[in-house]
Amino acid sequence: MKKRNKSDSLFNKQLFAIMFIDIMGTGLIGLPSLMVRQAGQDGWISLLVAGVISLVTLNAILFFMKQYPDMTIVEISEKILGKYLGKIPGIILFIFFMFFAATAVRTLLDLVSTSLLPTTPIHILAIMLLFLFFYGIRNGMKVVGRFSELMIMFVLPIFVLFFVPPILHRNILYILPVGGAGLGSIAKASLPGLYAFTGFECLFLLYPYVRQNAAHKDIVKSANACLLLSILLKTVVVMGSILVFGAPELKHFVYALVEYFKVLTFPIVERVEFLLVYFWIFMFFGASLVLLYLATLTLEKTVKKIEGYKNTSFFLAIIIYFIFLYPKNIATFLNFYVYNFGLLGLVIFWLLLISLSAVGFIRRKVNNS
Amino acid sequence: MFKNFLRRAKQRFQPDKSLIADTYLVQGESCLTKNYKDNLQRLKNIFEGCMDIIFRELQIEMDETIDATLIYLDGMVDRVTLHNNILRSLMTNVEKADYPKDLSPLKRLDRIKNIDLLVGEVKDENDMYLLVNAVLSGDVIFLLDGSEKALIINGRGWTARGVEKTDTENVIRGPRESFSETLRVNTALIRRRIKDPNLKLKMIKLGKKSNTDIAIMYIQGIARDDIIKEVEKRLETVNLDHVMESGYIESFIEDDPYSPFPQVMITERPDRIAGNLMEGRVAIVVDGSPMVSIVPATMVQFYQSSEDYYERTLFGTAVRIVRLASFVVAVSLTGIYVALVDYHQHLIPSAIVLSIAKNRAGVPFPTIVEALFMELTIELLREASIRLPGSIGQVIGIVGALVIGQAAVQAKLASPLLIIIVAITAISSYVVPQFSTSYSIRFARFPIIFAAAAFGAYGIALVWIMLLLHLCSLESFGQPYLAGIAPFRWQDFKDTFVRAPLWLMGRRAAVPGAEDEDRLTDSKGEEKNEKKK
Repeated sequence: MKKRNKSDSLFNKQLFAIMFIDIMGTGLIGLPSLMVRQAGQDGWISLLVAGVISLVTLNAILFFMKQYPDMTIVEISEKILGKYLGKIPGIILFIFFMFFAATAVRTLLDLVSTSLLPTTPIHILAIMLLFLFFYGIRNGMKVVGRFSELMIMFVLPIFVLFFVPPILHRNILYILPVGGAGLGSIAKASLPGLYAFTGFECLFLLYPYVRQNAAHKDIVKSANACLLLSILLKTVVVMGSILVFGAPELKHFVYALVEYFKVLTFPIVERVEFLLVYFWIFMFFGASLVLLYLATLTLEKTVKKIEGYKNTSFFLAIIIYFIFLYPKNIATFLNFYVYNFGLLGLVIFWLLLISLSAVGFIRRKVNNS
Repeated sequence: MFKNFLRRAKQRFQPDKSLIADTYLVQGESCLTKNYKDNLQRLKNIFEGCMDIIFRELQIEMDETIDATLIYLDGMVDRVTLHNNILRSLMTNVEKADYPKDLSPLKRLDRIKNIDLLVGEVKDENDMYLLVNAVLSGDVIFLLDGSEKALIINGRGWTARGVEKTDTENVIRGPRESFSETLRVNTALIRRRIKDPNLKLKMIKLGKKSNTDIAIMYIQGIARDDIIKEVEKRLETVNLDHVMESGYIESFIEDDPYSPFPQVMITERPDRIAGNLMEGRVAIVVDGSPMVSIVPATMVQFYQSSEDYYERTLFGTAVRIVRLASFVVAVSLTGIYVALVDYHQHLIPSAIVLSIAKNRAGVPFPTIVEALFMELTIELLREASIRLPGSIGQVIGIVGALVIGQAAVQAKLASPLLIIIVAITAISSYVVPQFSTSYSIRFARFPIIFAAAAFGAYGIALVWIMLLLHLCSLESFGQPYLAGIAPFRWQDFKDTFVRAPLWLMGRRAAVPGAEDEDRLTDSKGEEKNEKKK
């Protein structure tokens, strides 16, 4: 097997790009209807709450990683928990990233299958896609970083379009009364909202690589800027959808974002939402690529022997192929996976942070005394 | 294995004929001796059968009459210099008074060199290998009786194409000079644009048989040392026995030989080379080729023309955007047509979809066959029109236009809309200022057509993703190929999609990353900046 011969490192801007693609690429397409199902017209408040929770988590991760500037989470846990016990966080994260990547791939393929190629079976669409994952990952972190940067430029026009529908077709009454859904519902609805912001956990693994080129302060700045921007954009979409459609109607959409764009009309382009779907393929691809890369990286760090091999991702892509085919259809998929994924992620991150910091703290105390 | 053994045995007992000359010539080992007759005979043996090598034997009146020989390659030596400066000074200018008795032969040679010879560049040498090389490069060798050294006199001069107008990189505004086949002329053209002693020039020879002169040029203090070293290191790997053109070297020194994208930029414009040297790049000039290579190359570079900088900012920017759009159009327009007609008819406005349907009604093929048929015809025409002599070329153009135009439609082989699309893609692939890039565009089109026929718009997206991933992973001399875009840098953005005013581009690009980053000189730069503030 071939090995990569160059050392990996990332620029701060590339970290921003990777995080942004990771957060924006997953969990936006059906987000508005998920949010209003629980909280009604106050779905956007729930999303903000989820955003704040994510911000806190992000900064906790940053604070934790700052103490070990040249190690990934897997290496840190091996240092703190020992050689064998220390592998457990790596394995958990690996499984998490694999499932996360599989959900992203599934969402992408379902979208393609419903809006572009309704008659082609989904597993055929997947083969070419998975090959591309392998092709993208085999040359390492630099390619993933550069590709994410490119993708941001690619989809930039779409983000501008996010603001247009509510400006043209809003009905303020749809969003009133603010807070009318009740605190309980708002809090409950923030759980699926967490999924919308999962993606910042890439810091667990990428932090040391960025730290080679940037100071901690700059990383904190760009990571927070990235999450804040994502919160802004996603809230605009959710709030805009509520303003345009109203919560009762929005509840029944599968791809709320696509419907959101159907409102727009242009002189030559017959269906604007097609353009969105098209650009979103790139966005989704970028996100899945990042996630699968993170899975590869976690595996490489956990099992030291395969570090640097180019073909690891090929086998992971094959595993992904079987994972994402499991859910029967998009409805069960959205309801089960997406609903629970954000919460699962949050629990994992905090467990990792708390347990590692606690054990590390106790160890230091014992060593000192 | 047995074959190999036979070949080696044959070599052992029947030495290769070319080796007879080679045995006389081991660099650093075969030297001239004090025996003049022997020296002459050895040289004659080496040049046996080379009728164009002239041995002009003469006698010089010094303190005594001394035998000497001039050796040169007919046709590579400037006759005026040979007759007026070399022969005249040796045969009539030598004065006995300058040569007292009992001078050693070496002293005599020195005096000829220092007092009598009226030629600019003269040096003495006793390595036979270098002497033979000098003769073959057009120098005149002066061999003196009793001396173990000979003079290499520069009398080079041959009929060559002069500095002419550029052929492949025309501009409306800007210099029209282009490189020619002679190395010295080319390097002088570059030097004339950068009058700075820091512009360094290193000469090496590549190719055991062809002995091609290669010049490596860079500006010390701007070009990074590691890049210069890398270039030199990679040039050492060229172990071909002949180097005919810069393309020979290119294939040895590029990072990814199987990539469709060129990783070494070639140009025939001296101003372009000079501009790139100022960015900290390294130029490789190959003797015998009017194309000069410059490394490391980035994607953006292939979309820049020197004219962008000569024209005003706004138009420079506009033209660049047109070029980038043309790249996208040239690669994917035919594919988009195939995808729209085959899979996504609902995306076409209804008025157009009806006319497409009407036009396609008579066409018996599936869309992909139709598209491939037209694309291949265009490729044929293109290839033929380059090879054919000028007068016939025009005929081909007219016939081609008829074939792919009216006739194909009337014969119901293709729909008129497709012909428009194919024509647009054909034209757009030539908008790029660099010819070598148009190849990559031409051939990236076909996978997109196939993918569009198989998976529609999704297929096009996948091929584009693959293309972008490939571009992201590509590197030229260790520098990212998409530098400026990914990894992104604001400073470089001013010179990628847009062309900012020159006074705004105060810093050189991140790739290749100059040692001295400032483009603007201190005094003027600061004044300008203050004004802008």
